[in-house]
Amino acid sequence: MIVAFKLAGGVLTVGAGGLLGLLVAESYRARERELAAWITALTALQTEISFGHTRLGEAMRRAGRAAGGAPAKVLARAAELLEGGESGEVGECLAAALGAGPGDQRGEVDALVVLGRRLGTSDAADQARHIGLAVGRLEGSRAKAEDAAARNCRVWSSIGFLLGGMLTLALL
Amino acid sequence: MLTKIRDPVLDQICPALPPRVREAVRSLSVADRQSLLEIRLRRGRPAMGVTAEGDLYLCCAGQPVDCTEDEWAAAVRLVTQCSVYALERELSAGFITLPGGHRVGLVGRAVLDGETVRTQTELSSMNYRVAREMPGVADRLMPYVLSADRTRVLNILILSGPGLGKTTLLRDIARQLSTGPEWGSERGSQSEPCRGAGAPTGFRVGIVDERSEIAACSQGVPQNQLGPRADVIDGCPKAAGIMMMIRSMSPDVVVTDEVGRDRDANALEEASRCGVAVIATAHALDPEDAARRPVLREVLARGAFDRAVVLGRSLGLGTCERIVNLRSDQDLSARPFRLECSARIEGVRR
Repeated sequence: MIVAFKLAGGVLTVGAGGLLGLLVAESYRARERELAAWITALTALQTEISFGHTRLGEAMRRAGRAAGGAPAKVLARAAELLEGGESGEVGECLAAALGAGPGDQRGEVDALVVLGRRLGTSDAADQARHIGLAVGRLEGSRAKAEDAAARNCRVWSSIGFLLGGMLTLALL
Repeated sequence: MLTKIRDPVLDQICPALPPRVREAVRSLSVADRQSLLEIRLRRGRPAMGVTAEGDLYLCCAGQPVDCTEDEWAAAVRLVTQCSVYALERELSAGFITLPGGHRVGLVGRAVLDGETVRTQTELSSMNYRVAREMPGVADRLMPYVLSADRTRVLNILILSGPGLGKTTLLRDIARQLSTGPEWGSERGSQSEPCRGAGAPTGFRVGIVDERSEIAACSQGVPQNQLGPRADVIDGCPKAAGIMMMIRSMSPDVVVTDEVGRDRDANALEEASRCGVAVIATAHALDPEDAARRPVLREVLARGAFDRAVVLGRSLGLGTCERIVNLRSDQDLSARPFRLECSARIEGVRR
């Protein structure tokens, strides 16, 4: 009976460790997907601004819808703040929508807030250049995220189970 | 007629003002706010209101509100909706139209493309012009807008200097023609809407609203009252818009604002040749002054207009100084008279 309990506990520990490892691995992949979604959103925003001459609030909403995921929520919120007229410049609206605080390490936050300071303040060609720069920065972050994912995903997928197994052995 | 209409300053202009100026405008008395014709912001200088009686400083806590850099940046952001790239044409023309048809004039440093102004940067002054919807203001003029048997609209040119109510009058004429006859015509009224074929109606009014000031369309819906038979082409250059309107909507009358270029005048003349009546406005003090402007001289000489309505301020803002029969050069009104609005704003009878 005790052996059966030990066995079940061991399986649970290994499973929990494995699951934890898989979650960490998934967070690397999610980060990569999120940055890709931001790049899609900014490209759509550039199209709305350069070709559609759509007002910024609506352009941000449409760009968010085109990308889906986190950008959709953030850009919709930023558009809402912007059209409310109380939150100051676009960069402040984006920072508030991103929930960014001082020292935020997310690569997209800095790129978006810097872009926000320029959004809507100049002609379409200039806007396209600023958005292009932000996309360039996000591409850099995405490449790093891809590297990190390639390095860490497989490791974390196995390491969780390994740590779970080691813990089980230690407890036995 | 007594309909309640909104206060355009509170509802439509305040949201586009920077925070401290907005607060100052909101703190004005109802009477002062209703007399506002313009709000002028100049970078680094005090914000001012312009009324028919003169200028007033806009104050917060008893102190005039200065347009600091922060206030100015907020004003530009609010007026352009953070979308300067979408307003290059408007900036090159020197004005942006706010929801509700209020025009904000802007000047700064011009960016040239050869001889033409491509856009403006480093804006330094803004002038918010309050467009007031004044239903009924054209009541006394309607008999002069229609033929003697009241079945045909005449070609009318409304003349005045800037800020004397041309667009307000034009809008109400369009509304009354479209709604049908509170002027007592044989053509029927909106109060008898469901009659059979051949029943009398108002006129089909085609509004070519290049600057979005007449109809103030938002998402294709006119924000100003224009009656049930008005079709609006919004934001389209006049010359192209007039011909599009005639081809697509077969109006009885085409209404447009501020004729100033050769091609506008040619299009109006073409419209009147097509059997479509034309009602337009132009900057001039009277028909003689208009005839000194090359564009208008030619149109007037070719007989494109039947009558001219001259606005002034001899009896205060909204005075009809003269109504001239351009065919006979005869004055049709014995003396100047005030054009009165028969609506209320916030319960105050005007």
